[in-house]
Amino acid sequence: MGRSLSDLLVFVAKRLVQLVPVLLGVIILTFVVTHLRLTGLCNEWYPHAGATTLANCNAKYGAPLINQFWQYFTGLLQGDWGQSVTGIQVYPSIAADLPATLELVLASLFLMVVIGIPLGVIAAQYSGRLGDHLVRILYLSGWATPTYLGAVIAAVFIGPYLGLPTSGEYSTTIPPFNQYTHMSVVDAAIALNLPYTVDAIDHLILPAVVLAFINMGIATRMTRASMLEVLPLDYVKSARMKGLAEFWVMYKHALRNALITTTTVLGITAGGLLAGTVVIEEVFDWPGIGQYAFTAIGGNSSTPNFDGAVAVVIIFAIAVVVANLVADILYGLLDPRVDWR
Amino acid sequence: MATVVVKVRTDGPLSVFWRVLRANPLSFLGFLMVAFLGLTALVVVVAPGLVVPYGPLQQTAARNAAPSQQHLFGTDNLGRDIFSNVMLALPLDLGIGFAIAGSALLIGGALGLLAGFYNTPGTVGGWVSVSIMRVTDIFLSFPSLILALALTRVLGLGVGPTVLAITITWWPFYVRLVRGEVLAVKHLPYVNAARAAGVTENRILLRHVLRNVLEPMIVYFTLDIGTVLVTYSTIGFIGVASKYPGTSPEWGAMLAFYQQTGSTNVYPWLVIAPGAAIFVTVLAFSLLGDGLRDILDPRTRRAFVRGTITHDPPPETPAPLPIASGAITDSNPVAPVNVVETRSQT
Amino acid sequence: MTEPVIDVEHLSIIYTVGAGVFQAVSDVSLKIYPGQVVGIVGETGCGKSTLAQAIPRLLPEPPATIGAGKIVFRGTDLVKVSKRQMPMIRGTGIGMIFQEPLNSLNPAYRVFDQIAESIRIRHYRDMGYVKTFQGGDAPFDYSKPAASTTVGGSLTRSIVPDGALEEAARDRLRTRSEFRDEVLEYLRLVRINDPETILNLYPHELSGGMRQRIMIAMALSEKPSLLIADEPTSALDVTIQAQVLTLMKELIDEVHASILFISHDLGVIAETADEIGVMYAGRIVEYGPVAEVFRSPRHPYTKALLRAAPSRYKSEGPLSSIAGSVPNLSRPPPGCRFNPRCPLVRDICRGEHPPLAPVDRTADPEAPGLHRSACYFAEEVPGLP
Repeated sequence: MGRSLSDLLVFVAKRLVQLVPVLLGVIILTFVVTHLRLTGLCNEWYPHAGATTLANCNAKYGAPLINQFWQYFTGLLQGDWGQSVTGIQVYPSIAADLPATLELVLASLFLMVVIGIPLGVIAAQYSGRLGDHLVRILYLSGWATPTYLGAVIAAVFIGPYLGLPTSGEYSTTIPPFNQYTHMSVVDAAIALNLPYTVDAIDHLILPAVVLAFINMGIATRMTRASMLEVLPLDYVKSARMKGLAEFWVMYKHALRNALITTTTVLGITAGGLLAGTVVIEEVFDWPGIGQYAFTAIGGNSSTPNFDGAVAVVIIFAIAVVVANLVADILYGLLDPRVDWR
Repeated sequence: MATVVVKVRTDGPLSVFWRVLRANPLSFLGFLMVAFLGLTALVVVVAPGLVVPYGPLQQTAARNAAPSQQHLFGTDNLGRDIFSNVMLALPLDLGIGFAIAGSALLIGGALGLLAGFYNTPGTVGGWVSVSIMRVTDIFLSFPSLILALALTRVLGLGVGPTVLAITITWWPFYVRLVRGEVLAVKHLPYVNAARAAGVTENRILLRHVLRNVLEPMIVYFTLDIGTVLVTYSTIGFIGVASKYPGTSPEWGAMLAFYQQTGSTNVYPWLVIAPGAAIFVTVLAFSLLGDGLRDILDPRTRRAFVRGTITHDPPPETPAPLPIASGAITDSNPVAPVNVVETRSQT
Repeated sequence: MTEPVIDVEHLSIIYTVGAGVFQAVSDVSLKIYPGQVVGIVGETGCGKSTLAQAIPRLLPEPPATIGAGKIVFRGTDLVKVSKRQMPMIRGTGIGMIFQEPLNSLNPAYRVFDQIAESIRIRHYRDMGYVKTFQGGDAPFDYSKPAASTTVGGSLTRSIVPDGALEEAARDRLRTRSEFRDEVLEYLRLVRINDPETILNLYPHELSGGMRQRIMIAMALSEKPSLLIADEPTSALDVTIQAQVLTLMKELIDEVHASILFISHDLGVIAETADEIGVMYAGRIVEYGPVAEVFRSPRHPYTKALLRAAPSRYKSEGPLSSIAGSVPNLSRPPPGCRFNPRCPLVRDICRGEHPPLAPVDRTADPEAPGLHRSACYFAEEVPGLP
């Protein structure tokens, strides 16, 4: 019965240890992939720069790959993640932008769980009938909407129609209280400033809903499939025989088991949410790393920020790996048959 | 000893088709949509005069015109016909989708077959298999969109490099899918029976394993075309793929251009037309693929049960396999049916 | 004359599925009296499990529909009760145990929680916190605890000895630890020694036989008047099967609940049942006291079935089987469904389906305990080889 607290800690520790080579691999792969063909790109990046800048650029990126990587890696560990073309340090920018994206992603996750999973339960209950088809149309539509399309339609048409703000975290640029967490709603709530809390929530609604709507499909579909597998099992019938209302049979007995397999898609979902933030934050002017990534990669014909782009890729990959780890742990927690030892 | 005569009732293809349609109306709708889009794309390529009224850069007198009979999707501020541009982008976008998904399928599928089949530890094959899976796992940690974007920075702008960039980020999914399926099938009783009969491993791989793997691969491929399209046009939106306006329009690029330069609240068709085109195309493939997945998944195959409903020999699928050791982050396969889970829009 | 605990009249159940419409159960009538054990035997696919699960309306109603008939339990026709109201009836008098012990206990919850859940629901009903069904023409008041009803018999032995709970505790909601004693008693009832040790275990940590006992305990904790056992021993190996059967027989004596026992195993039914019904292709083809049916079957199918069971007295010669195969229930043969395989078949068999009539023509058809057969030529059956 290897499921005591100490077993759990060992379980988590083992996973964390397995994390390290993957992280290393991620950094190496990103580096290799992005530094493969760099000579000549200097001219492309700095078309109007002077000779010294070009020379420096070529010197930096013309060196052998191993040297470059070693320099980069040691820099990473020390907190020097490079700088943009105009000399703005990458690490502080990313650190400053991260909480906003975290807030957005968490809000979307919340919506996905609260709306997407019950939809999956409903689809399983009415499998093959109208309810199932409606749910399927809903999540497939979300899936089929490219993030930018959904964002643009929400920002240009739906937002004004509903009177919801479509830009930024607050209505004013600098809120009149200390931002401890840099997460808009949390900060406003901590400061006990009700109008600003409401304002922050208003600003969060559209981007979070669009992000959730688009990525909901996986969770809904997985829940539906799991539920279909669980519903014919005898313990669901046993639960009904006890006289439990159908609602409790579905959620306390069936879903409790179906959720186990649903957690396996958490990693994929995280990846989708993060990728979505790149466009969503740009369209909704949300100050997170998605927006940073958008400009770094050269969206809207802005000057590309190479170091920044590399750093963002690494951060996103780390986030996905961590999400997978969380999913793995959650799975172990939810399924009593998993032995943590 | 009496001979037993068994009469087998075989259904004609028409009644099977009809039953599929009734059971799965949405997927049938998807099938129709995909067929329609394919045909239209073919016509645009072969006989553009039939469906494309104007050239992509052709400026007409009607400026910023709302949709009308002459300009089905309206025009932009220089009188370029949106409908023509959307139509011309159709074969390009479809072709890109097929090309990327297809290449990823071939590369990833082959690697997956190898990694799954020849994975006995201690052999050359085992070592190759492990390295393939390690590399795949690392690739899978990246949201595809992000990695592809980074690659475009390196490979350059334009259709070709972008296609290459996305393909490079795409093949790992097929490796994991195919490997999972191969592992599940490799030791099925009938495969072992073939081994006992003396069939060589290679032949087993090609004849038996491959056949079982084909089904989920097709489902995944169908769904993937849509996802690829979304990714490609998102890259186009971010502005690093095709140039619009140009001779070779692309939906994502169109949308990005008009979102930035057009007054979309006054002339919404500029944005809605290419957006709807993407939406409809991806939805078509998604409906088809999702329906196919339901047909192939034994759990959801209820509509096709034939014969008496017997109650209840123990279920054939065992209770969900506990993922004992880090299967999500490791290279262990999740229960095969679950592997046909696609990625999100990355 | 005592009222039956459950009175099934002319029940028909059809499954509508993509491939067709299947008549899983056709015109089945059954009466189970208090304290009786009725066994239903039949091959796989004959409809016995469908029948068993239809009684508490457990069948998923979209593919399955109750075409006709009544299921009268405590004066209420369960067929007419809406899906919404069924939870209020279930758990007040019908318990069910299933075949596959691994799947009938929720793998995510511990043993204590699962048994305590049904006790807690009963407790809420007793306290009036949860609605129970007040049927249209029900002579019974379901708001009273099940133990107080006299008809149908319920657990006559008091599970929690009087005085075990303080007076005050009887009138308020009990806490988790107060359920503990009752849970332990039910576990002891199913002959689990040292039940404290398994309270906190999960189902996957227990053996098949143990899980089956827990399922029986869970069903009994609802204090049912009718216990439906759907092939409870079919998934167990022979030694465990014997243990569970012994347990059930002892329980039959102790708790005075009626049991509807479904099985495909003739031996198991012979050991436990008072009356037996033989089902074939969705209909009951023979019914009667167990000893009589076994000794002198009056339906060709029953006879063939009994003959097909390998006997330790015949050690040579081919195993006998029944020629032909079970009919496709979406297109059953006209008249008697056994007629394609029956040695006694005549033209009349392909006309109207023979009624389940008493073998003794002189007896009153309504009398209980009669040996009945659905064959026009029941008298000729004893003459078959």
